[in-house]
Amino acid sequence: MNVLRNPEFQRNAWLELTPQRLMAMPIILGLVALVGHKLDGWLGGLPMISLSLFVIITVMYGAKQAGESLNQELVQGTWDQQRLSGMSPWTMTLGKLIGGPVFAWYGGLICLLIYALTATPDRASLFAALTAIFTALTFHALTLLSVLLSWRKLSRSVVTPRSRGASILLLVIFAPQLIRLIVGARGAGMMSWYGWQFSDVEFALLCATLAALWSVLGLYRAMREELAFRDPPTAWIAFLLFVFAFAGGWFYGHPLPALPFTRFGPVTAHLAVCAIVALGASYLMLFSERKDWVRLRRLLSLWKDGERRRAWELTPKWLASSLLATAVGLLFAVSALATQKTMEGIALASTAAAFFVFLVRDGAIVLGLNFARDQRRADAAAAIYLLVLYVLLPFVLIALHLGLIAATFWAPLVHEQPAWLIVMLAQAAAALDFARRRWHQLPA
Amino acid sequence: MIRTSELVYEYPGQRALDRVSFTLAPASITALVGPNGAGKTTLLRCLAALDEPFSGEIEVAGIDVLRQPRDAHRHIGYLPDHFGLYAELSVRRCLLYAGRARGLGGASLEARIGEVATQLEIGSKLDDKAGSLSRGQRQRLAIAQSIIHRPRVLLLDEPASGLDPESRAALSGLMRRLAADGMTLVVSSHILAELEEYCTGMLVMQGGRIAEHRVLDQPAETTMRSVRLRVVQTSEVLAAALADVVSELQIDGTQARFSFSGDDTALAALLAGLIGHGVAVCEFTIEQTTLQDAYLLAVEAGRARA
Repeated sequence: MNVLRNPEFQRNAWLELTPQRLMAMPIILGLVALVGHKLDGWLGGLPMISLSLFVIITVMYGAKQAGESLNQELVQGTWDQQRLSGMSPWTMTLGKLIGGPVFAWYGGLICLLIYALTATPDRASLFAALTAIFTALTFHALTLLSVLLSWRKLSRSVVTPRSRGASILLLVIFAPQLIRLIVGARGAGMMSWYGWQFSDVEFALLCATLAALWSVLGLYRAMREELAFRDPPTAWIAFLLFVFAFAGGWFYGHPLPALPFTRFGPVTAHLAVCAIVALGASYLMLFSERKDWVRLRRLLSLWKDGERRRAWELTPKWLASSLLATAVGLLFAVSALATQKTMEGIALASTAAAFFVFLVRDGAIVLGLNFARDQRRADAAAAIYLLVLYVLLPFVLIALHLGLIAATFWAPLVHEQPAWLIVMLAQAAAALDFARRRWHQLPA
Repeated sequence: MIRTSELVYEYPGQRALDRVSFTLAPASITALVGPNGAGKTTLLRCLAALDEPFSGEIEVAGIDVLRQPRDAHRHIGYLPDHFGLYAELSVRRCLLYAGRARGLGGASLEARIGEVATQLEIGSKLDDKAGSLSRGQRQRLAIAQSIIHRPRVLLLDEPASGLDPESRAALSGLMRRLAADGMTLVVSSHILAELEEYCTGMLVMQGGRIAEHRVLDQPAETTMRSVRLRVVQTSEVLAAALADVVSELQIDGTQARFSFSGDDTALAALLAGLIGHGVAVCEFTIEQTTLQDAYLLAVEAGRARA
């Protein structure tokens, strides 16, 4: 697969790599290198400066470039032509991933050249450079993915600022950690994962590589969907299972870290983390996916007609994540009942059930609000209602000295009093009834 | 070449296509007409396998579009209403990209670029930036991109909007040439007078349904023709002479209107028969039903049914 012959890469290169830009980038970076050289070790010397510049130019500016190039396609109306083209999903994925930020990669390669010429020639330097490259790929893939998901979910008039907002948010959250991770780590610390010993630099590279692989795979799957391929949410489930397995590295093969839930033993503690991850994924998908009730109606129709395979292909990721969260929650409950003392086991199983009941309640609220002709503000309204249920209402009740009732709005507190689960079930039943009534009110 | 069966497409709260079924012959040019919001664009996007309907079947060039959308894409060219171009690229590079994205390459692609550029009359603009072209030239470039892979079906959504009369005339000529080359075209437009110049059929959509599917270039013997007749004096034998051979007969003094199904020989025999009955015919005219008339009648009938 020659990326230089990739039509999408070529088109981006034609647009981005103008003679003026090709000349300007090395001149500016050359001047920066000259100044860095004269500073003689200040700011960490040329290796540090060049790698920091790579992060700024390729990782951050490249992510912006990648997102904007796809946004332009969507806004200017060339996207449908691309969807109709004969390019394979991989060709599109690679073309957009490398092509959109091609100018940023051009600058980044010059930075890496300076780094290669000036850094200490050891494993740590090589690993830091590779980590930076994989981090750039991860960021670019995630930005492209966020643009595609925003476009699918929102109307054309509002997608651009929101998807850009998502990309900028990613940069703001991760940029400081990135620079520290790539530039600051020199292999001083060691860490244990599944009993294997890794230096910080090695582990950072492992994480960056895995993140790049999964984010590129996520983008590829999104591209497949855009190109009219029918895929069930198997890749998303595989990703969650991978996260479960990855998280297990901190629970097995070495003494457990001193965390509040590690006293339950490695298996139960690991399952607790998996359940939290699956719950988080369910909420993330519940709010980021489009809750198209026509599609849901179609899914139900296919299921009733016995077309289970097609129904599975239409299954939304929030539903798949919720089913997985339920399964993992059940495993956690069984593990807790089997490994802990009776009362503690019941308390832990009840807590898991409370989280599941609240997932059902919250899902019913989000879906119920989306079961309408105009879905534009449904998710925002749902977020506000959940904020009221989780924060405002409990604090009002506490202020009114009704702390016992307030506790029925916080799932972790069921651990103290499993009977509160009944009140929570009543909340979920009310939310389900609301969703059911909204569903039946939809036009035929 | 194109067949749909019981096609249903739903947006939340609105059924955009309601059990749409039709068949279009190869090398035909079908005008897709209807009021705004009738479902024309949705239908074109479903035919192009860009949007998936709720239920129903679509077959394009013998391919089940819903089961094999990517295979169908190879045979389809689609120009959306709001199409985009890469304004900073030259016309040649726009076509190069479109060709490579469709799997063409090498000398055959170069030759094909020359061919479509000549066909679309943009050969002299190959080195100009797409952003510098006029509206008509941009439209032609967009069509050139859509047909560079020699699709068997071309779907055009409002291709003539915003074009000057000269560009519209050129577009009409292009449609005829493409159909003559064996391409099947579906053209959505509101400019019925121009559609009439080159369309061989008309699909009228209303409220997501097909209000009428009319084949326009049928042989004379299979179509109903509207005839207007004027006689010198009121004739009592006129009604009796026409009653058995025509339909929808209306006589108003010295004027009569009726519908007649038959070829030119039958029409000549009808006229000879009238004269033989002693009717003093001074005017005998076949009234042409324009696409506009047919469309308005179909829409009116659709409203009455609704």
